[in-house]
Amino acid sequence: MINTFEKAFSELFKDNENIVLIVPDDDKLYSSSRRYVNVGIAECNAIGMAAGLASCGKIPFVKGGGSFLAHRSNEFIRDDVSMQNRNVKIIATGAGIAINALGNTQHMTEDMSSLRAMPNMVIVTPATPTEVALAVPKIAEINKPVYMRIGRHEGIDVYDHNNLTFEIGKGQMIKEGWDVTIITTGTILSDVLQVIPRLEENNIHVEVINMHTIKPIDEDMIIQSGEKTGKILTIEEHSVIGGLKSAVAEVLADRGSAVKLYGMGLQDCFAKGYGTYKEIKETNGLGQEDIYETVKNIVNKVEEF
Amino acid sequence: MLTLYDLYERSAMESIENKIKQIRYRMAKIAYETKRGHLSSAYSSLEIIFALYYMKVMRYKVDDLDWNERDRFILSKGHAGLALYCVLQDVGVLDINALNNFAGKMSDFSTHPVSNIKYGIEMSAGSLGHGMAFAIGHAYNAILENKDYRVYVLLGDGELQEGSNWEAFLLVSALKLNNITVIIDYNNRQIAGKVDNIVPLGDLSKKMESFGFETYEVDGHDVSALECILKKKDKKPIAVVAHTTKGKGLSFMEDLDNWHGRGLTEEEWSKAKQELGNGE
Repeated sequence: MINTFEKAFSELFKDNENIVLIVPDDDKLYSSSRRYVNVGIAECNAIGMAAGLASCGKIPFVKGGGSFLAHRSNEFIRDDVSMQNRNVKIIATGAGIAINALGNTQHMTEDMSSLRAMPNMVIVTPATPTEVALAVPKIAEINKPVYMRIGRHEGIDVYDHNNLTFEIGKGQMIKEGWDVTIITTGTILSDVLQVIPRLEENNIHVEVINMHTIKPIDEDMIIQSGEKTGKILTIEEHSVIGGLKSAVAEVLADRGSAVKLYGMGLQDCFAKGYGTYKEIKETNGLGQEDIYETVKNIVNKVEEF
Repeated sequence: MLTLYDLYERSAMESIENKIKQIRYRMAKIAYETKRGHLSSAYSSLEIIFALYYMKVMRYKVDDLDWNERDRFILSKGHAGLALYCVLQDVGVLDINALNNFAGKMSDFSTHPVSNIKYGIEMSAGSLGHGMAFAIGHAYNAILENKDYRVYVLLGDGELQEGSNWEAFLLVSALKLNNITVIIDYNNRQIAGKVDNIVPLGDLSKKMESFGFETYEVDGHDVSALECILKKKDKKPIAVVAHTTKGKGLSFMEDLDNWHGRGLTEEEWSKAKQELGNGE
């Protein structure tokens, strides 16, 4: 997805003189332009400098490892970007546990929790390479801070982008169903879609929503689908505290909905193990088999009242 | 023998000294009436900020504060906000009544400044160690736009204990930002006591030089000396180590403990009025 980002961003960078790319030693692209700055391994510098440029009317993109940008420079994002609603775009790479073999320090599994509470902040986690390409010009258009999480792996276009529009703040109805609503954010959508044939064989018809924007979240879509199926399962490569599950729970509680909510993700822990991306997801209860079993259990569960 | 020019200079300086005394009086009055503001820190920075705005060091337009070509002043040691506000009043950026309700319920002016260019305030401060990176953004913008404005950043000495400053100093050199002047208000005091007794800065000038700055030391309460140094430009970024006294101007506050971030009592206000010539 990083390649897709770079391709889409190159177009934008070429066309818009106001766009500046700041990297804390992330890659060597665009090195001939003065609008490309490698600030060295210093995320706070990157965010602070971006805030200064934004206050001069520039549209700075800061691209780097999300675990460092979201956490190391967290207070710079808060005081210098979010607090002033400054037009800084943070491109956080390695969403979730996508940096599979490098250990917990590289994981973005609490970033949404810590940034979602920041006023003005828009948080986007595209699910597919095409979504990344579509998101780039759209996040540049809105005059607000944006935190966009992108996966480390190339990802696959798991749904037909011709049939669905991509709008920041709007969820996408990927598949309609009636047994349970599955809401995902990020590339884990592809795992869900790969499980669907097996679920259908077992006569389980799930509704699937791609919630690429976590903030602002598409409240209406959550409520409409939840009220229809009665059950929502959120699946995120992130802690279940503060991310997608929490965002959905807030919507349900605010609207007085009695929809039952389940959440797959890291259950108040850091990810265990290393290995391939597939393996680390499996080790942490986010493998395709886990999704299949969880959905089956939820649907077959007799509710106790 | 004094020449006419010397006499003119002397009288100009006397008038400046008097003006600064009046500003100190206004600051004390606010700290007494509202019991808010970091008066001693603000006194430490007063001449520095005054020199920037009043002595034509900085280029700015009172009627067009968002002017793209303006020189920028970034107050990183936000606790000196009261000094900035009072100087901004003096040069006509802020209305003379703007601080009547200083840091009050719905005031626009917090103890730590909040970014608002319509009041000439570039950055929200209060968490130390943020101003340098923000200033780099402004300085780099000048390069991108081929503008010749200058960026002045005021840091506290204790503030230098925040590592982000040193990251930023490295970057200032790396990006060859010779349009930045960093001023360090070196009063050798922080909340808990002497900087030297907590985490000493050692030879600060040498440190700044080694980070690639053309470095000057100055008496941070000498407006003429400050004016002269702050007007300098160089092929390198400039660092000014300004030796100051926390609480400068009030005998019972100068370089003493327990003055960080508190207002004046009735008795202290009485004394302050006397020492500051009743604001006349």
